[in-house]
Amino acid sequence: MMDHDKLITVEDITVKYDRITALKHIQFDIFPGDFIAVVGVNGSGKTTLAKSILNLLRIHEGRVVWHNGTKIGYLPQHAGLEDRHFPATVFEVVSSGLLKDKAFPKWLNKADRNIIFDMLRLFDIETLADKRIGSLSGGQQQRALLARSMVMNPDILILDEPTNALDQESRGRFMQLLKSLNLENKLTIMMITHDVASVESYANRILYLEKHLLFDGSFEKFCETQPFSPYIHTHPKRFDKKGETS
Amino acid sequence: MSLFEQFIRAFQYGFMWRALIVGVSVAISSATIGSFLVLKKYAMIGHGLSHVAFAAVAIGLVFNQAPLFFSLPLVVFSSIFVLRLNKTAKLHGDAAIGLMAAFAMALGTTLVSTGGGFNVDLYSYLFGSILTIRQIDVYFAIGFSGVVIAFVLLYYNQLFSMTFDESFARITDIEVNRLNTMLAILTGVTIVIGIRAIGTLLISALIIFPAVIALQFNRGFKGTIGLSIAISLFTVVAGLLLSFFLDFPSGSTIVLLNSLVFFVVYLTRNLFKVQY
Ligand SMILES: Nc1ncnc2c1ncn2[C@@H]1O[C@H](COP(=O)(O)OP(=O)(O)OP(=O)(O)O)[C@@H](O)[C@H]1O
Ligand SMILES: [Mg+2]
Repeated sequence: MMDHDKLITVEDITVKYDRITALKHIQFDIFPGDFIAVVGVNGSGKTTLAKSILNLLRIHEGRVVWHNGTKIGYLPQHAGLEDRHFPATVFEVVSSGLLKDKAFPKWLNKADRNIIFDMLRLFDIETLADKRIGSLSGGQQQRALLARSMVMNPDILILDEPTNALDQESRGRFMQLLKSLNLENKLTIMMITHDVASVESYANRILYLEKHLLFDGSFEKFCETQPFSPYIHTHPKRFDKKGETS
Repeated sequence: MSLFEQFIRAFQYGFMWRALIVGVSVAISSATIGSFLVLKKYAMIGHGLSHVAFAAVAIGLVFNQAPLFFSLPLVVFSSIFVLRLNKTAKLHGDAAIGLMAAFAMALGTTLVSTGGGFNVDLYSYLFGSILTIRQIDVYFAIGFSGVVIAFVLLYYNQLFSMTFDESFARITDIEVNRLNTMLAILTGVTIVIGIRAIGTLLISALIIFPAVIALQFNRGFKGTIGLSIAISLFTVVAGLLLSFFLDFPSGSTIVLLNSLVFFVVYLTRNLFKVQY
C-alpha cells in the first residue's frame, strides 16, 4: 500500500516509565477502515500504546507519524469518571470534543450546538443532555464519551476497554454501534479489550501485545500461530470449532 | 439606635466601603478559581499556600516592608512550585503540600517570635481586619479579580475540558500545562488579595467552601461555578457586615457563615432528602 494511504505509522517505538520499559520496538501501520483489536494481559502496555499514539507520553525511541492531518478521537480507560459527582452535563462533556478546530476563545455558537445535538440524537442520549454525566448508566456514559470524540469528526477512534463497565446486552449494542461506524462511516477503529468474544466477531485485525508486538494479523491467523496465548485459553469454543472443521 | 440606623451608619465609614469592594472582588475570584481547584482535587494547594502567605507576611513585617507586596511573588512562586511537585508525583502531592504548610508555618512563627513588636498587626493578617484595608488594596483587588474573571471567561471551554479529562484536552490541542500554570498564578494572587479581608489562615476556606457547597446542588459545570460565586458573594458580604456589628474578626465570621451554609445544605440534602 502506498504511504499516503496510511493514517498512522508507529515507527519502532520504545516507551519507558522511569525504570520500567512498557513498550519495546513496536512497529505497525494503521490503514483506513481497519478495525483493530489490541489484546494482551494486564500491564502488557496496551494503554501505553494508545497514549503513545495520541502523543500523550514521551517516546524514548522511534516515533509516531500521523499522516496528513489525521484526526484521532479517544475514549480513555478511566474517562474522567472516577468522580461520579463531577458537575458536568452530558452536553458540556460532548461540547469539549468540538474545541480542537475552534479559534480562540473557543466559544460555542448556534451551529456548534446543532452539531452536538445531532450527535446526541445519533447516540440516542439527547434526552440526557442536561443530566450530569455521573448520573448516567455505564452504557449511557460510554455513548456520551463516544459522542464527545465523534463531534471531532475523527478519522480514527482509539478506545481503551470501552465495554468494561457494561453488561452483556449494552456491550453487544455498543459493539454494534462501533461496527456500524466502522462500516458505514468508514471510521477506523483501534480498540483495546479483554473481551475476546467481541474480538472475533468485530475486529479484522489483532495486535497482541506483551511489551513487544507478538502478533499482528487476522483473528484466524492469531488462533493458528498463538495457540498458547491466554486469549485462546479463555475461549474454548474456538478450539471446538477448529476441531470440527479440521 | 435601631438596627437600620446602625446599618446606614456603617456605610458612612470609608473603610466599610473599601472592605465591601475588596470582599466582593475576593469572593468572585476565590469562588471561581476554587471551583477549578476543588474539581481538580487540588483543594489542599490553597490551604498550603495560605500558610506560605503567613510566612511571607511575617517576613514582610520583620523587615518592615509592605507585607502584601512582599507576599505576592512568594505565594505565586510557591503555587507554581507545588503544582509542578504534584505533577512529577515523586512525592505524594498532598504530603508535599503538608510539608510545605508546616515549614512555612514554623518559619513564620519563629520570625514572629523574634520580631516581637507587631502582635496586633499580625493578628489582623491572620484572621482579617476590615479596618486595615487601604485605598491601594482596593485598586489591587479590583484589578486582579478583573484579570481572574477575564481569564476564566476567555478560557472557559478549555478550562472545563482539562478539568474534566486532561488527556482528552491534550489531544484536542489544549495547552494544558500553560493553563495549569495560569491557574496556579491566579490562585496565588487570589490568596494574597484575600489576606486583608479574610486573613492568611482562613483564606483557603473561601477557596474550598463555596465550591463544595455548590457541588451539593445537582448542576452542570457552568451552574456549579455560578452558584459557587453566588454563595461566596452572600457569605462574604453578610460576613463583613456581621463582623462590623458584632465586632468579630471579619475572616472568621465569613468562614463561620460558610460553615453554617454548608451544614444547612448538607443536612437538608442528606437527612431530609431535599433535592436542590
Ligand atoms: N504512569 C505510570 N508510571 C509508571 N509506570 C506505569 C505508568 N503507567 C503504566 N505503567 C507501567 O507500564 C506497564 C504497562 O502499563 P499499561 O497501563 O500500558 O498496561 P495495560 O496493558 O493497559 O494494562 P491493563 O490491562 O491493566 O489496563 C505496566 O507495567 C505499568 O505498571
Ligand atoms: Mg490499560
